[in-house]
Amino acid sequence: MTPTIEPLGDAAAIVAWRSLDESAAWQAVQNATEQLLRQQIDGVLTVVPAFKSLTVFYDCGRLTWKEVERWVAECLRNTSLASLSPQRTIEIPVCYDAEFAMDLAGVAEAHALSADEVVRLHSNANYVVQMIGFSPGFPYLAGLPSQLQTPRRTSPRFKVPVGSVAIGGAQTGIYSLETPGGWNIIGRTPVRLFDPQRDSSCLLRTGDAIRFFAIDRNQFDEFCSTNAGPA
Amino acid sequence: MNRLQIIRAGLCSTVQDLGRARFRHLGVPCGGAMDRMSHELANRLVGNSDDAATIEMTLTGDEIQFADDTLIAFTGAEMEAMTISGGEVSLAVPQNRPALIAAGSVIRFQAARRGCRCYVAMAGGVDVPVVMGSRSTLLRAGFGGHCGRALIAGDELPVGVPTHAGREIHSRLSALSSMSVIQPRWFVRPVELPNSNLATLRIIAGAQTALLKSLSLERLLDASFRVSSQSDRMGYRLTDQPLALDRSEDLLSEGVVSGTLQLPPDGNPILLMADCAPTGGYPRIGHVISADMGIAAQLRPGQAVRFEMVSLDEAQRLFMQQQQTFQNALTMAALVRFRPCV
Repeated sequence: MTPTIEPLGDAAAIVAWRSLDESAAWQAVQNATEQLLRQQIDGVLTVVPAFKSLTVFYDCGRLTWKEVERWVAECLRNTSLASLSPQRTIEIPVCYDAEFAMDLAGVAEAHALSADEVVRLHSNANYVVQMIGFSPGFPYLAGLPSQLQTPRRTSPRFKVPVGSVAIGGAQTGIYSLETPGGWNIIGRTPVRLFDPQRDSSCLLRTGDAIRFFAIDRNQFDEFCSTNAGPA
Repeated sequence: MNRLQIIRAGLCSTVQDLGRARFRHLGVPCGGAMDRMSHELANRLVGNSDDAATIEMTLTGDEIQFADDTLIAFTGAEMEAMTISGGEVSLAVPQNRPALIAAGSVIRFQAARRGCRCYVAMAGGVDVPVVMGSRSTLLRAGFGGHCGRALIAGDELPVGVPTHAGREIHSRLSALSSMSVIQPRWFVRPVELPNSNLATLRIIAGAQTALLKSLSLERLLDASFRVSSQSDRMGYRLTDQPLALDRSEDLLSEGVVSGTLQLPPDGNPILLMADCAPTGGYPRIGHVISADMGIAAQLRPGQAVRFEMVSLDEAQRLFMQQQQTFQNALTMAALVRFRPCV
């Protein structure tokens, strides 16, 4: 399917597959992002994949809209599925202790489940990183069991602790930095998702498969002391 | 190696360069100097390349002391500056031209009289560590610049090694006299500042501009908005003229960029600025054109602003034209500094 190409201001373009269903659109976004990055031209700064669209950021001192539009159309003329990089699977430990899981009881109650059942459902599902966004390194994960879908909190928290694992609507995510946030917090990982000083600053990439496994408080502390901790 | 010390800090002074344009796919904002041309101008005046880091001061300035004789220039918002020695004001330091500050003397930057952001460049640039390809401070994420935060009194920052051009300007000025501030009589024309009564920003349409109620669309293009005090490097809240869409759409997060005018449910638009996230989920009702982002960077809280719609072609033409004029001005500045009598 041919995507729409629209200007986003005078220095970016949005390429979107809005009429496709979620998974087909997402797949198209992944393929197209890879194609564009492989054939990147001078003046194109970066390509940012989102759920049903991607954004091409360019230097408007070097490229005109027409040149960007033509380049995108040419790159996407023959997109093939076979070109995708192999998927990585990354396992992330989560401590679901009440001390970290401020909203676990509330989520359980909303779905008439016990807290243990919420933890079991959450840590037994297969997730895929749909997008990195909101704040540096924050992964939006698809694959949340439908029994756990929970609307965002009516009033966001001013500060969500770094590493908080949370549910927002049909998605789950991990707060990679201490930021404000409105998702329901059900646990915390000691793994540091974003560290600007690291060579690979962001642990996850769009398209990665994610598995959570439950750890207890001692294991959490142990992990923090051997890996310098989440913050 | 030369160092600078912050004796007293302004409201929000941060180390900035051209930002991190290539890490948006990791959710990292581009950031960098809000008013790029003023940042570049300050750098050129002391012989730096455009990507050297400057100090971006907001509304009020800092007091800064340099360990060695230092060639500086400050541009952008209109600010007065003077050197202080023994607690007494000694000499005024003029804006928009290079000035040589004697080792140990303190330069005091006052409150901005016009505009919001003033850039101080020093030959060699602020040499804080490069993090993800940039020295820019990203306040919200707490990294980059000096310790990932705004400068406070007592901070000591390294100053880099001046370029050949920087050293040449330095030696020409130091040959002039032995006062504690030495500057040439020439100066460059500063970058345009917003009209303080009513600033105008030109916009092009956004994806949801056509969904604005007809009265709201009229209002967007006629009325004057106010930059609220809830405005920072991430974005400005614009109040006084609430807008509404014909129908509300549940939007998935898509790309946004500095200049994007978002419309959150409360109807008060948000103008996204340099530190905005790379993606957002609010309707996009317009985009301030690149040529006017310098003006946007200089808007003060409380300031009135209106919008004028132009086409994408026009936006591009205006940007190219502005860059050409700016490059010509820089070339002139480079020529004039080699005149025998500065």
